[in-house]
Amino acid sequence: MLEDRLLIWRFNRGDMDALGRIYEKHKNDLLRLAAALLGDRNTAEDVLNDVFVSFTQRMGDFRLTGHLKNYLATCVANRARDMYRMRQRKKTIALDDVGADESDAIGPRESAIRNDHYRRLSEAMDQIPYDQREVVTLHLVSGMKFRQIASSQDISVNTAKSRYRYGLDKLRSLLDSEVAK
Amino acid sequence: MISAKYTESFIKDVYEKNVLSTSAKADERILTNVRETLEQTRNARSVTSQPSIWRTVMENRAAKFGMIAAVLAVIFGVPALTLFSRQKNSASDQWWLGPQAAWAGEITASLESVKALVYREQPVFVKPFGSTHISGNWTRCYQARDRFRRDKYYHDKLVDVTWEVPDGNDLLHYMVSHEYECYQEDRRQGAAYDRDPVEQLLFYVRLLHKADRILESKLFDGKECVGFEISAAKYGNNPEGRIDRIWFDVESKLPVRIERHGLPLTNHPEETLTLIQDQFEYHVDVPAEMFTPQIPGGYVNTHPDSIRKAREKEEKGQMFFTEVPAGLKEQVIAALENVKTAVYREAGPQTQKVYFSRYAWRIDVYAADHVQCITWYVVNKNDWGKTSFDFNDEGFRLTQTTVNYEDRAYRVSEYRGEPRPHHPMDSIMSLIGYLDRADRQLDNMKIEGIDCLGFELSAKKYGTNPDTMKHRLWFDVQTKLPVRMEWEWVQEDGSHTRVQDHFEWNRALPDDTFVPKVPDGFVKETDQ
Repeated sequence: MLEDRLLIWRFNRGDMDALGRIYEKHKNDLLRLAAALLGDRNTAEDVLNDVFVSFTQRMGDFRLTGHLKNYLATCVANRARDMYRMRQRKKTIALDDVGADESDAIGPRESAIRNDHYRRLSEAMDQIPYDQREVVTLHLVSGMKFRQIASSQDISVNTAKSRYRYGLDKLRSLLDSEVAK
Repeated sequence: MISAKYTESFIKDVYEKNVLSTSAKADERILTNVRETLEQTRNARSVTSQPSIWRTVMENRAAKFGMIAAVLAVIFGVPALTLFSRQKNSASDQWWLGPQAAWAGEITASLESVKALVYREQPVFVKPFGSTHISGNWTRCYQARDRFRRDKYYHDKLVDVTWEVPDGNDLLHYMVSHEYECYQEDRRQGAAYDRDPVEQLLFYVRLLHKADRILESKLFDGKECVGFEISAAKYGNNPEGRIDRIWFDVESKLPVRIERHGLPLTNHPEETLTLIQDQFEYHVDVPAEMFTPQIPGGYVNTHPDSIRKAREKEEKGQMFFTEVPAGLKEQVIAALENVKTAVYREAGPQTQKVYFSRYAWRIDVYAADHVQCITWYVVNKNDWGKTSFDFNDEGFRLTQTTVNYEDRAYRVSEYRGEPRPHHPMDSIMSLIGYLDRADRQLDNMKIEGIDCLGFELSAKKYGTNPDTMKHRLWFDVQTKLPVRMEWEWVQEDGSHTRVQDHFEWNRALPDDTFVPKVPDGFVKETDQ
């Protein structure tokens, strides 16, 4: 937290090294969040690019009021929502496999199981309304509290909670039917 | 059934174990973009900070000017006058000339706060010879995050209203036609939540770095605006001539007008459509009831087209259609689009000889064997661009000069917009546009020594024309260019015919064909 404040102070003075450090520190978590929201690694990297470019444009007058990680996660969620809507409108972009990086530390069987879990979860996520997917992902992947999610999306805490509940129920039912197959 | 707790931990576990990291290529791309943006933002900040320094200095105004000039010259090593004149046209006045990253970010940020958008959309039909027709139909759109309403007007009259409202994951679509007193409703599965009021605007903002040119600033709704022109080929599989223009309010930096030029029209390859969106309202509170469908009592549940067709049949009688060879209409239009000049005769109540090039035409009216009067029409406009923007080009001028040899008088009129005389090719093209709706094919025949194929078309098939008006069109079998066109109609005093023939396509015309010539001693007529 203190490091983030220091980095922001340097960033506001136009320090590229500070900006590079912010990027390195948060890029993988943000990529994971964007990929979870969109189910497409390439678009997720585009989201990351747009978020950091927009963030850079605030150099000089950026004021951090909470956690930088949550702020950036909110930016990713907002941009991913735009991308999702654009994709819905065009209906032409196929969902690519996210293609998680395979760690050398795990064997091929474990890797296959993980990929299968990811695929099942991605397919289930794709079937729930985007608003619900967003709250579920921000809460479970980025660890944001409902209060923070509500404030970032300009909705009430109760709306955030009910979206989460509905989303989770639907996911539970979808994953359950997968298990039953 | 798995528990909610298990589902939560399963999701967390899957995402935690599924380690994702950015590729080296992505890192390089993102960091390069970030570095460039940082540089541009630094520059923008240094530029925009200048006016405040200048204002501070200028608080004591002109009395200190001499001293300030001297101080600036010493400190910055530049003549103060240069700085002063630069100040008048600085990047802060013309922000669009500054680093794009800064102002595009501002526009995006202000648009992202918009909850609902209200705007007008108006179609304009554009013909290849530069004529435009602004449709009497227009719509007022109300667009919120998840719902939409569109009120369609014909001039001042509300014609129909469309609502799109979500119902779970589905979209309910309602259309109420006040013109035909009917309504339609349908459910579109899984189509909910796919609209964003500002996404299209943001889409253009993000494209601005690809703009082909910045347009001259102009006033819309009393606001000074700056426009950008982007070839649509840069963002999709769009045909040649598809061009978008977006105009921003210089002060608020919000979009005020979007023009999408060159949209193809189904069944009318002879013209294109331009859609204009304007009268944007960004922070207006749209009452919730505006999005609640309202079906007036007594309206029947059917599509307005079925009522329209039934009414038309009653008023105009049976329609007949013949099989027109596939692609013939397109071939005729393509041949006409390649025409640079033409001369033809028009015989009706009077006999005329018509000459035209792309941006000028001339009509000689004959009485017996001598010329009674000549009218020249010459188009001038500032922007001879790739598209026809005369409805939008403040420099557009159509000058009409008529010389009457019998009265030894002349008249000059200037048109800057509609209504105005239209290029002769417009009426030819319009008629060809209906070729595929012909009633019957005529027998092939030789006209003026040319092998021709012909069609008859009832004029009741378009507009509100009566059953008694017919067209007959003959085309050169080889070139597909018109050889003879006939209009036949019946009035109280009997049947009348107007004929266009003796066509000479792409004939070389003398240079002065379209230069008005007023003989000495002729008197100028005025509108008084």
